[in-house]
Amino acid sequence: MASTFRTIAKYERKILMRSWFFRIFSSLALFVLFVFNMGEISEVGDMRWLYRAIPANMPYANLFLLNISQAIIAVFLSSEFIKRDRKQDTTEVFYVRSMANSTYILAKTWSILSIFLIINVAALAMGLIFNLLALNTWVDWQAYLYYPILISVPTLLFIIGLASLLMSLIRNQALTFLLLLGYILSSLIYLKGTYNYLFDYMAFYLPLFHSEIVGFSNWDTILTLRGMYASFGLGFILLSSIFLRRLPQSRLLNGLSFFLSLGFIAAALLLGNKHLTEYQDSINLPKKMIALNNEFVNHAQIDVESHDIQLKQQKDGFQAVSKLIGLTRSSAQDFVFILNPGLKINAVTENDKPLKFNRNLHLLFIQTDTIIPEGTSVNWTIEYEGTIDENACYPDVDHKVKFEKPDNNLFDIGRNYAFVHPEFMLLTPEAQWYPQPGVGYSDKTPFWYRKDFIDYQLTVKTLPGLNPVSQGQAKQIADNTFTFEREHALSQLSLSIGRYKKSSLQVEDLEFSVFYTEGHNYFESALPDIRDTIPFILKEKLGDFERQTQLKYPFKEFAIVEVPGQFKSYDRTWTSVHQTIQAGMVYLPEKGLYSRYMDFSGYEKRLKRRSRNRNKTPQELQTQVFQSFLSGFFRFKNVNTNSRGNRTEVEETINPYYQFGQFYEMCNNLDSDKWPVLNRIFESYLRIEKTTGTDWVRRSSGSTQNELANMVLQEKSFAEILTLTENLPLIDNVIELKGEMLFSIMQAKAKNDDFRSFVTQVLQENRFKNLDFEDFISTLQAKFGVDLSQDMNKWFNETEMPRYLINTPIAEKVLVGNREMTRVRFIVSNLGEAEGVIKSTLRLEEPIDKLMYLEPGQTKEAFYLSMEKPAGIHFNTLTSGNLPNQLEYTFEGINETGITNARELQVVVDNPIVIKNSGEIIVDNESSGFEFTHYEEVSRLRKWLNPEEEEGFKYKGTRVWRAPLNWTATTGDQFFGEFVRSAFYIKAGDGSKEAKWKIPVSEAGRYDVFYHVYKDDSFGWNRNQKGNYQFIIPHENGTDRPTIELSQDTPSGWTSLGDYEFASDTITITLSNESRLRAVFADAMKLVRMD
Amino acid sequence: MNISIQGLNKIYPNGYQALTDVNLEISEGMFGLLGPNGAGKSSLMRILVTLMKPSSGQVFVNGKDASKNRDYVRSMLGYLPQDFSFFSNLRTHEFLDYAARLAGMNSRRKRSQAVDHMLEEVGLFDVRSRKAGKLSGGMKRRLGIAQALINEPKIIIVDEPTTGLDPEERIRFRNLLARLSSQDVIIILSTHIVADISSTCEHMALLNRGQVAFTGSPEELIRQAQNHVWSIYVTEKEYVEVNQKYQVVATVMMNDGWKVTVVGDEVEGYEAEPIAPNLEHAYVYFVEHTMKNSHSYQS
Repeated sequence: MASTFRTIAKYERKILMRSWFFRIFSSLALFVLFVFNMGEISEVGDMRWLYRAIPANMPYANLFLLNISQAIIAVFLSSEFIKRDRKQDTTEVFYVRSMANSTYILAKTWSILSIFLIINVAALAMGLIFNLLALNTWVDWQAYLYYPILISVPTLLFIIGLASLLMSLIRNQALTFLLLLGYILSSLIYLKGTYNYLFDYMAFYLPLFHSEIVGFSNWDTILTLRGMYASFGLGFILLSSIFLRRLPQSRLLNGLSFFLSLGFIAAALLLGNKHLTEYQDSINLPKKMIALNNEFVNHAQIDVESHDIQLKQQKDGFQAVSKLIGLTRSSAQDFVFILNPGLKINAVTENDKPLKFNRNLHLLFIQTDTIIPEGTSVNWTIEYEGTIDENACYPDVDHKVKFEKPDNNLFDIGRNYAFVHPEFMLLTPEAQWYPQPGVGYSDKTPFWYRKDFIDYQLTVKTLPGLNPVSQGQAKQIADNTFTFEREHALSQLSLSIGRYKKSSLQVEDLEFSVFYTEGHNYFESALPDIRDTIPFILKEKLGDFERQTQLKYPFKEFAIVEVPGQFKSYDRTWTSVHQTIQAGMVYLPEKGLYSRYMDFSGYEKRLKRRSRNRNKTPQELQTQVFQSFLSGFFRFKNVNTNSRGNRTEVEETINPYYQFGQFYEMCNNLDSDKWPVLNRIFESYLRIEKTTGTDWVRRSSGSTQNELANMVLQEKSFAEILTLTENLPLIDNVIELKGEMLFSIMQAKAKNDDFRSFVTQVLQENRFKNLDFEDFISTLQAKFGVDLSQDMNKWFNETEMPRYLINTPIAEKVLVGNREMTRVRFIVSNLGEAEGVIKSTLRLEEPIDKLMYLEPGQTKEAFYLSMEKPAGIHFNTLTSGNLPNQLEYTFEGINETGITNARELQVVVDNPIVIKNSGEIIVDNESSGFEFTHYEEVSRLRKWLNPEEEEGFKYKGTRVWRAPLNWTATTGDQFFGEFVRSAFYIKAGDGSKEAKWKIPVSEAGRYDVFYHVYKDDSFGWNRNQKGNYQFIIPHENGTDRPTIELSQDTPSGWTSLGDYEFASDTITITLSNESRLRAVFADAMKLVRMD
Repeated sequence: MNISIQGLNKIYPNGYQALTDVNLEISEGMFGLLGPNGAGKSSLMRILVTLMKPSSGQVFVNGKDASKNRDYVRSMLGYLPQDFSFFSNLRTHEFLDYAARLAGMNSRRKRSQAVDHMLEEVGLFDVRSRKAGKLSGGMKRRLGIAQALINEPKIIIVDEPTTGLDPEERIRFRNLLARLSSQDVIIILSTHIVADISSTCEHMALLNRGQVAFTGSPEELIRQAQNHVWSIYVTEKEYVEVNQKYQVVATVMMNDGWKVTVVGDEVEGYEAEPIAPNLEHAYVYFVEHTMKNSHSYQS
């Protein structure tokens, strides 16, 4: 049998390897991999740090890419095999030979499998060569073994098995191929990582990242799923030998094959079921936890003053004793705490006397014998042990978000919220590794949130050879036993234990340290030419940040602590600080693998390649590298854009390493029982990096995130939004907008430029303790006479918004005393239902922000002075019904006025701005009289392939380089509009698509016709661009076809189309898309009565 | 060696009855299976080579039930199907080597000798390294014969083996089979070419519409056609009439008309002269004349 097996396998392999299809495919696949390696890994290309930092990623990436193509090609080859068998007479000469059906099928399968293994070896060999040649990395030989076993083998077994089985049953290659291709595409496009990657037979979404600290962190899932697919594959292969159209030779072998195939399929089903059950548990636990939190949110709690935690690390978890001292918040007999449900309580005692307790998932209820009055001191000891159930972490984060594959990497690195591993442990507050009073996240009320500054004591006994890292300075007190000394009370505590080494640098009284795991000290040899200046750069950067925020760094140390690459945290509504940030430290994924800036020498090489850096010294380049590395800690948001068909999506997420949290969140808390979100609002105000509502975002996606947030605010009050689960990605923007609005109102009402200094001073005085919001309001009133308590309710609950009309600002020369200055003046009317503040910024070298407060219906004229000549002025309408919500004006010239004694002031004006004068008729694209021809030109296939392509926001980006084929709404401050400045645009074409304005003319007569011209970006790139807009105007004496010629020199805005005699009727003016320009914009049409 | 076929029936799922109560005894030597297209020859062959199950009835090989001892039967088989195409990417000698290994030749040395010997036998040695896809039609046929004969099978079943061969190749092939049949083997030759049988087979069966119409020696078949083959001289006008009335098996143009050979029990209205039949005449007599009356002749 073995000989027959080998024979069949040998010759079938020969046949396959000689087929052109296979040769072309394999060469192509290897070529793609070659290009990938050249582009991403080699020194010639991008030298992605992700691959070189953790070298196991190199074979992973190669196999990841190869796997996609081999999965498809295996379908074709295996169905081709069976098809060949169906051709009578061809294989019959072999069928009449003495051999078992299972031998035949298994040998054939092995022949396919073996040639794919040959390709895998070839791909890995190529990857290995690039690996050996790559800069600053090494070869992880084991990865070259486990990745093919985990990725290729189960994928191939499964798809070959499924193809063979389907082909045996359906007996039609085309149909089999179509079905399987459908399955593959469905698994890639629709099913993705659903049910925790249950359908991901290709391991396309399944994270298979192998950390150098903890290895595979989801080993159980990997084994279950890959084992399941391998078992299914083997089962299907054996089963297809049963269905083979050849009379069985041996009943025994046939029976054995049948039972074996059933065995494999049953094993696969069991594994699948186990996986599914675990998945269901993982999504049910958060729901149950939230339900419990909702139920017990008002349960009695204590206020902890000091908390002594003694933790003993074990191989599969830890034991801990937690001693809590605090005061009861209310009179009760039963007090609620939270602790991870994976941790089991052994005992609760008070002065060695056992107390009764109850456990319900993550909630711990400690019961006393009698009712304890409010404010009574308690001293309780809780003994517990176990491990961390990660399903209990981030219960508020939707499980779909948790399984999303990030777009920025080829493969998913994975996500873990805590690590409990014999070699490594990471426990952050999210893991709920120590008891905390209260309940966790509730979706019914924001009052679950509490933050207390507590005097924590931590003693840790590690396993031999490991070191703990936590807040404060570690001190060894016995063998493997450490304690931590710190000066302040903290709001949270985290702990990591590993084979840590420490490298530190003292800059004045601040110690910068790096805790790295063994073998990861690559940074020590980096930046050799600036090592002496690094402390100065650090000091300068920190100093700059302190100056800008007017807040001091509160700790004596700052540590970068290396953690496994899978460590993940999410944006939350109640804080902008991620779990990666802890007091005085940041958890960075191993070797900073995600960021090219952590690849110090590699990044320096890349910089050197740029022509503009050719003449720079190594010191200059290294300084630039170090500055880039530091900038990663001072950038608030990561902005990603994704192009989906004609649409661009902008995704803003909080940078998890942004260090502003150290300056506020880790040391201050604005405590408000009524509005817990105020703490975050406060933080949003204090943070100096705002979400960038930059032009390119709106130009490519159609709106800024803040504008979208404004839309949400128009429909729902802030209080309502905070309890919503949808629109979650916008919550930061809503909070930011509301925060900016609240503080802008405070500042505008305070009429004092020192407002920020006042706020930061108050915070400085209240560090490491809670600052009561009521106290803050009183202090504010005492200092500036502003009573905010009246405004808070409105601010929280109303949906009305201000809507502004702003006239064209004018810049002019004036005299102040005998000094010539530039005065900028403009008028703003607030025609909305709510008060508002407009922030105007004069575009100067050092921009100046001015605030203008407007009551509903109020109009004000502002006069601002500046020494320099401003290039323009920028208006930010904050929360408003304006679209775009930020407007930009550029001053063409500065007029001489001869005005003397000019002053800076804002005055209330009686008459609001009007955009339409009497005798004028305007029909804008927003008016009901505007129509356009519509065509559907999206193919069904594209719709099927992009199921997520939704309609989305009404207004799209203004992308003239890839203009839409249908009239598409877009916004911009250069368009005409009352509150919404918008237009429709289309790719210029043959004139088959038209926009029409139906203009009601109530009085017959002669009218001047104007069109509001918009000149898009293409006039900026292409100075020679010329083209026209073609109109059709029917009038009393016939029909005219006037045009507007556009070139670099022609003006934008209202442009005359000539004067015409109109009857008292509705006239229709048409604009066609025929033009030599790139795109045609349909904005507004104006008729002005002449007589 | 003997094969005993008892009460074999084959009804396809679509209801078509390909074989009806076939009983045959086949012993060593060359056995010819003759019959028109659709007579059930291929169905019978496929059952004999264990590619297909009969609907009822049994096949015994050396007394063993073939359906229960497929490994026994297969280990003795050499089979050449009717329409045989190859894996075009294998070289001639590779293909033969593949067949030889599956036929149980495990020794590489012996196999290599056997492959070369067989290639010489069928005249393909010179193209041993050519890919099967590049062989001519006749060469492919010969390669098919070679794979069926490799490793000296005890039962050789060949379906229409000489189709596509030129006369020289056909003679060579017949001689090869004749030589093999002198050894202790059963060769079953299915064909519709009468000459293949007449020159080589000692025993034969005639199959028509799934039934055995005749079994015995070719001479016996010829003998039964005695006095049923006539030679008639006809004018051009009469020729048309004769063609309609009788089964014409040969026509020769003469100076004053046509000399026509017809098959039938008797000829009326013409001057007919009985002639000695050959196997082809006998075959036509049985298939076209006798079987129409649903008679079955057994010797």
